Amino acid sequence: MAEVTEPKRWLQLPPDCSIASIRQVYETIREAFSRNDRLEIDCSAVDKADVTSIQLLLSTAETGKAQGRPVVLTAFSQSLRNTLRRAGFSSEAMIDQHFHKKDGV
Amino acid sequence: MDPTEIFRQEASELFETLEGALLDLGLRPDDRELVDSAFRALHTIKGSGAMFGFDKVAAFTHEFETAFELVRKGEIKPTQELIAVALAAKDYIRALIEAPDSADPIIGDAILDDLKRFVSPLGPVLPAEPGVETPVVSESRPAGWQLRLEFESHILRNGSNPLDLLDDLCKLGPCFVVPLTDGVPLLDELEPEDCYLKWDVTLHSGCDKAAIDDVFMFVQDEMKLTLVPLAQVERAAPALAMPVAEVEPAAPPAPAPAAAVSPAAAEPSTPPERKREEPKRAEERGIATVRVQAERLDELMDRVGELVIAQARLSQLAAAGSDLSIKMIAEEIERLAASLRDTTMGARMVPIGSLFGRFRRLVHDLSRDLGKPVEFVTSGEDTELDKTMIECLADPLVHLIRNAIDHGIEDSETRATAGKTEKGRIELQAIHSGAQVLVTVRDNGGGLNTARIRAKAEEQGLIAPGAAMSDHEIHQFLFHPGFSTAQTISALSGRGVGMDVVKRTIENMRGSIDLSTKAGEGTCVTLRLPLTLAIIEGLLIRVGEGRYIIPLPAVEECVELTAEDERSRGRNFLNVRGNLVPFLRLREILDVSGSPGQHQKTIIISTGETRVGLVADQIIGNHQTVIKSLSKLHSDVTIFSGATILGDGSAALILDVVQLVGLAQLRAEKQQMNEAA
Repeated sequence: MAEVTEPKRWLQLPPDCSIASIRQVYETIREAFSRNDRLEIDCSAVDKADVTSIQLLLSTAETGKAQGRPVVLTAFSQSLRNTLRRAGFSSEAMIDQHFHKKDGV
Repeated sequence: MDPTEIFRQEASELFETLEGALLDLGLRPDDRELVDSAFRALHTIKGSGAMFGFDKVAAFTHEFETAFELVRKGEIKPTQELIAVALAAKDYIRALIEAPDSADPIIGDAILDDLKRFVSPLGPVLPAEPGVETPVVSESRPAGWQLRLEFESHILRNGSNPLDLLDDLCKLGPCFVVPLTDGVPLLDELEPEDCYLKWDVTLHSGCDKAAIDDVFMFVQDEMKLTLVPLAQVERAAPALAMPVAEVEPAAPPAPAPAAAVSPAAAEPSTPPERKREEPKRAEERGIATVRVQAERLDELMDRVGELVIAQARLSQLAAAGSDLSIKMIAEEIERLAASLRDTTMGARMVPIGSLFGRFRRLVHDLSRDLGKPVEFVTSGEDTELDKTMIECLADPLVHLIRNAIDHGIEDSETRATAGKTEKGRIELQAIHSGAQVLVTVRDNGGGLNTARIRAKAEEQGLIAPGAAMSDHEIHQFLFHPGFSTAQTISALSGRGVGMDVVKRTIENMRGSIDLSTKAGEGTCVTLRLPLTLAIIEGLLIRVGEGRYIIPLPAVEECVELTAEDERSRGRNFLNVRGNLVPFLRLREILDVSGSPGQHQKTIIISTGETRVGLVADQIIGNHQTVIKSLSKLHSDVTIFSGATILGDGSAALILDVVQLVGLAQLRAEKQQMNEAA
């Protein structure tokens, strides 16, 4: 029996996750979602984030939860953290609760 | 469309608003509406700029905004000098967006220094905390505020950034911000550019309600702000902060009734009537306008043109056959095509006011540079023209207005000697006149010096010394290439390059230019323009075997060429109800061989003030004419302005009546000279 290649489960967000590029990021995440039963999103490269980035990450985490497919967000960049803090996600506990974040992965 | 391109377009509109507000502010320095309008435009440019990655724009605009803040607070007056610097700052921001490479930071710094110089003497009066007022009314203030922020879904696309607003709010005092994520949908339903997050904010500050309203002043139409004094929240229901009934912050703190804190009784901070209107207004905004790329409109117009041609072919086939049902369908399609043509052309129409706005700055700057105070008055801004025409019209109007200020309006001393007001006046007007739009540039200056124009024309050998000519004819030399009566060449005019270009541009648009003047009272230049350049109503005629189109707006009437007129060969005048009208035989002009039919027709056309008859073999009828440009090879054939495709697939040339009459006049003059010789 031929071995099935495991699809890529890891996805790195691009530096620009602001409204100017969010549609493209959204399509990338949806596409990755359609190919994988679990997803790990690396947020270390993000250097431009805004409300749309926060919403997309929230929606991704919630969709994974709703569909029983684990989504893990890892390595939040400083820029993303600043944006989250400005939006009121001020503590690590709060971020973990909403984004199912896992650091250092 | 690329989001940054959307920003550029929106910024362009905001610049017009900003420029208009600044110029008006120069005239009405006490008008608070104007200050607010300018400030709103600045704030939106800053917010959108930051949002779309134009960081330099955001940073510069922030500095500009800070300097302008004192004007907004009424602490300094918007003097002419300050407005001049503000206009320069606006230009610099525009350069940062449109041509970042050309925007030298040194210029930006110099502008900011100038701005600061104007506002610095009052620097210390800037309050440390925005919105915090004197302690006189502080006794009645609450200990803080509980807010809920709910934004309309499209707010992010408009360039507003809720995070900036939260930052501004936090500047008023310590804030506890709680994001409400319930509204964020799953991925399948997510529109990534929409706003779903809401926020509850607890603000610990003695600031008044106005200070909080100030934070949201630019987005108040696009959000729901629920606001309640903190003391009341705590007394009534500490756990249930929102939503609550509106309470005037100035009112003495009192326990709120239980009903007031129930969700059913919730009322936002704005008056109830206004709140009810808001969703409707937002909805109306959504459907009122759609931003469409200009190329798409051009493409649509091309398709409609093809449809009109195909419909003409169908009508011709239906008319030749005997099938009634086909004829009915052909008629129906003809009606629909005509209606679609009108709708599409309507969609391309742009109010000329968008163009007029640009000239206010031009007049302002020229008036300052030349030291001639000028009042600039515009009217008919709502008059609509095809967008292509508007684009083509900008340069000719710049030239005419420059001329009017540089040559037309006299300096203050001369005006005073002539008993005129110190301030010159330039009027720019647009009005509909039949199927044309008339754009006039009128000044109340000294008028044209006919004698000097004549002398110059004689000197250049354009006319024989002493030749009999009317004033109107002499003024036409101003449109001659290289003709200038200016004694000195300035940066603005005097090189004799311009009026001929203006005339050619207008004629390329199938328009005409006319000039009238009265010594000592001023000059008026009138541009007559067709409404559109794409499809026109035409009169289809036959001359020999060829078919031609005469634009219908130029046609006054059609009369038969009688045997008596025929016999008048050599005189070429028609008697139309007692008036003599010169006529031209198209067969002769178009060099058509063979003999004409027995019943030739004369189409009386008018070009400006001239009425001329054009003799054709047959008038076929009205024709919806889709204008196709002639090839480069035929570009020097001036008597045709284009071509169109007829129902049978053959082509018909469109006659340029102005050029045709000019050519005929030239030929007649040559003939007369030959005869005289």
